[in-house]
Amino acid sequence: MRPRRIHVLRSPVAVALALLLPLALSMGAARAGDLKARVTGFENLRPSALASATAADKKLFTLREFDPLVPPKYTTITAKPDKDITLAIYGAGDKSAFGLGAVIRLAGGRAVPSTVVIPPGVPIFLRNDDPFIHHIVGPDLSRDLRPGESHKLEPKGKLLTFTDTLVPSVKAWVVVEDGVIANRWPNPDGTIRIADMADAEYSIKAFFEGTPKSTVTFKVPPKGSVELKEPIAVAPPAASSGGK
Amino acid sequence: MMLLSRFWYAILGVALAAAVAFLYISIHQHNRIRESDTRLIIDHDRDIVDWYMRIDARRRLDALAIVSIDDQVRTNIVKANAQEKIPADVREATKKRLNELAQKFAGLIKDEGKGGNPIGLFAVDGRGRVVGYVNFDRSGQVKDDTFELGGFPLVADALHGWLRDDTWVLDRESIYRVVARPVVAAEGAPPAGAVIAMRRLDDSYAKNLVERTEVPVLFYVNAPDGDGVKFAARGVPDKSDVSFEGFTLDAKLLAADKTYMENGSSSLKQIGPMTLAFSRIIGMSWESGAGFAVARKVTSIADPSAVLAGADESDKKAVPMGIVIGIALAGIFIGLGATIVEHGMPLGRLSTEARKFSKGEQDALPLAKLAGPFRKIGQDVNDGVERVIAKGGGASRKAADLEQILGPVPKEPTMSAFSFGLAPEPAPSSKGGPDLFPNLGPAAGGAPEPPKAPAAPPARPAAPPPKPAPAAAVISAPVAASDEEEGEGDDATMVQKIPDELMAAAKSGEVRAIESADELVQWRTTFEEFVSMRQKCGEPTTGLSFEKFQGQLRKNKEQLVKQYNCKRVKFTVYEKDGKAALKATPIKD
Repeated sequence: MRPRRIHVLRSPVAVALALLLPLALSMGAARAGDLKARVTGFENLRPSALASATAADKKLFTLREFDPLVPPKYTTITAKPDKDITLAIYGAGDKSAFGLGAVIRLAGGRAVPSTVVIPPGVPIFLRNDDPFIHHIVGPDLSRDLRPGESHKLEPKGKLLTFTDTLVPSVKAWVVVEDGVIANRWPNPDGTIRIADMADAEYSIKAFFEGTPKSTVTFKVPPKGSVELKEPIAVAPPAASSGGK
Repeated sequence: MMLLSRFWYAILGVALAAAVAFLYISIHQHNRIRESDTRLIIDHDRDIVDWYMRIDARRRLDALAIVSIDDQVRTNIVKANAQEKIPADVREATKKRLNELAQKFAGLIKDEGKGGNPIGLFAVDGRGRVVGYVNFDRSGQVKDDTFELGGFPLVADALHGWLRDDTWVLDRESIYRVVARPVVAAEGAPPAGAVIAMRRLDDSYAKNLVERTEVPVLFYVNAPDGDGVKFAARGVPDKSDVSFEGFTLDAKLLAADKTYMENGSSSLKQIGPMTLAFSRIIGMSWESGAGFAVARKVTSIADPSAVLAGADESDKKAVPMGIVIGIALAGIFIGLGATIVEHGMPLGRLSTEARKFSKGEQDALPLAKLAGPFRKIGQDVNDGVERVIAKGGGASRKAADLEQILGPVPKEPTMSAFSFGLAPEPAPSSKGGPDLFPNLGPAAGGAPEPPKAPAAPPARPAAPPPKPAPAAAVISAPVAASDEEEGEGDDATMVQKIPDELMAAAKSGEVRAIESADELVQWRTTFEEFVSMRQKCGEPTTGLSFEKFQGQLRKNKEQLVKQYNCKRVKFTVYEKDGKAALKATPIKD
């Protein structure tokens, strides 16, 4: 039996508000400076959904060959920093910074972002932005999401994993931890720029598929900016690169 | 021994039985081979469909090159990559160009747009966002700003420089064959984006497949969380006896097949009159429950009568009529030959030898020239002749013409064939009834005194009148010894010794009396035969009496004895023109 739909969030405006509200609240009155940093090692991470796609023994394709015009160094399937790496920010603030809750979009045959990290009591919205049906399965959840539909749930537990029985490449993780005031995502090239942060001490944990990969702590000075000298390494450097 | 002909009949019987046995064996063998072949054919059908889809993917991927290298598409993708939000004009320009390229693409594939969904084309930027698309049957549910495809492994691969195919299942019922290529904007740089071609597996796709492979095929989706198997497309060759109309498939059938679930190929399933094999479609659809089924119908022969019923003209023409007719003629000739050799020729030889024998050209049948049962017959004939000779010979068998002997026969004898020219005796029967022997007078004159009591059959010599009785008792002996009698059968065992009474009679002049008694016995026998013959011929016998009969015989005998100077006259009963008649044969010895 499918669980009762708790809430439907159909408007993109509402989604935008849900994403921006935590930023406005967390940065509060005492906005001081920016954070500049860089995430590295993501090129050595391979999303499990895409990793399974390259396994020939699972018969997921009949032909797969590389284009000779593309240099081999670019042919390795890697994680997308802006979608697969989630930066959980810990510091001053409370859970109200998440506003209505965290949103996971189902778009393009995947979950965006694939990981969200929230404090207890913050709801999750699963929203279908694809023009076809998803069937999401997770803790206490198994239901269809038609195009444009959303599903709200209150996470129970520390780590929740959601999959899609209709589109197997959809996988999402929800991490519930105390002290999280906001989530951020790097740019596609791995750079990080967070503006208008209040002067305070913060910690950032980088998550990949529900797992913390790296943690950094820094302090934003009053009326100043912070640039982390050391990158946030989510994975050790690979010995060699090649098309896979 | 007639071995050949008899053996030939046995051969024919065995051959017929063997032919029937061969027929049944052939039918069973046909059905068994047919079933086995059908299984092989279905396995091959499964491979054929699989390879068709692989080759089809390759063809589509090759055709997609015209999109991936198109300058306008590439330029628009580069423009999209540079923007956080894809400009509307870029989307429009991309869509317009893709529409043109879709027509070229269809021309290359040659099987698009035949009543089915046209090829869908998509251009995706480096982030997986859809820059433009055409012919997507779900466009009504698409919001351009949020439309992405980069999460699909196929697109992710293309964005990393890979060419590949995939199969998608959307909404538990629609199956799409998808191919993607990277779009390279600069040498040595990562792909700027990707282009994707999508073809829905509908009935037109199945029809194209069937036209090229002659394989009945059915595409279905058995979604893991679905409420049953849904058919996406189906196609059957025109001349196939397979039909998917009204066909249903139980999802449990597939779920229970371990080989299907693990390896993707089911064992053969018998559903109704069809034998089917199910295969999961390679691609992301593997997990989504998409598959295809190939089917064949096993045509078996139920019984021998169905052999001819199911044969067409070409089958009948395939019969080697020359050989069949040759076998039939050979059988006929062999049978006839054996009959001629074993029956006709020996019989003819016996006939020839018997003819020679009858003409007196030889004294006996030459047994050496006779074979088989005919030799035995010849032996018996020879033995019989020798026995007759040993008896002293029989009477001449030459028939006498009573009309010649006795004069003209009345033209219309009254109710009797007993008409051998006796003097008319108008006197009616003393009994008053119809006189069956109108020619016979009541006192057939001059004859020796007839026995008074002929009522008792004279066959038993003891019964006749007092005088001849003792002679009759020994009549066989003197006949056999003196050769006066013939046709009495083999009396040799009775000729032991001439009775003393006979010897005494001979010495005392009673021989004539003995002869009369002997003759009387013969006439009595003749009378009985005559009566029997009349009955046989359907003539009345009422009023016939031995007294009249013997009187007439005696009268005729005297005439013949006088005419031919013979000692005796033998009367023989025979049938003439459907009536009883008598033949008189003078015997001189």
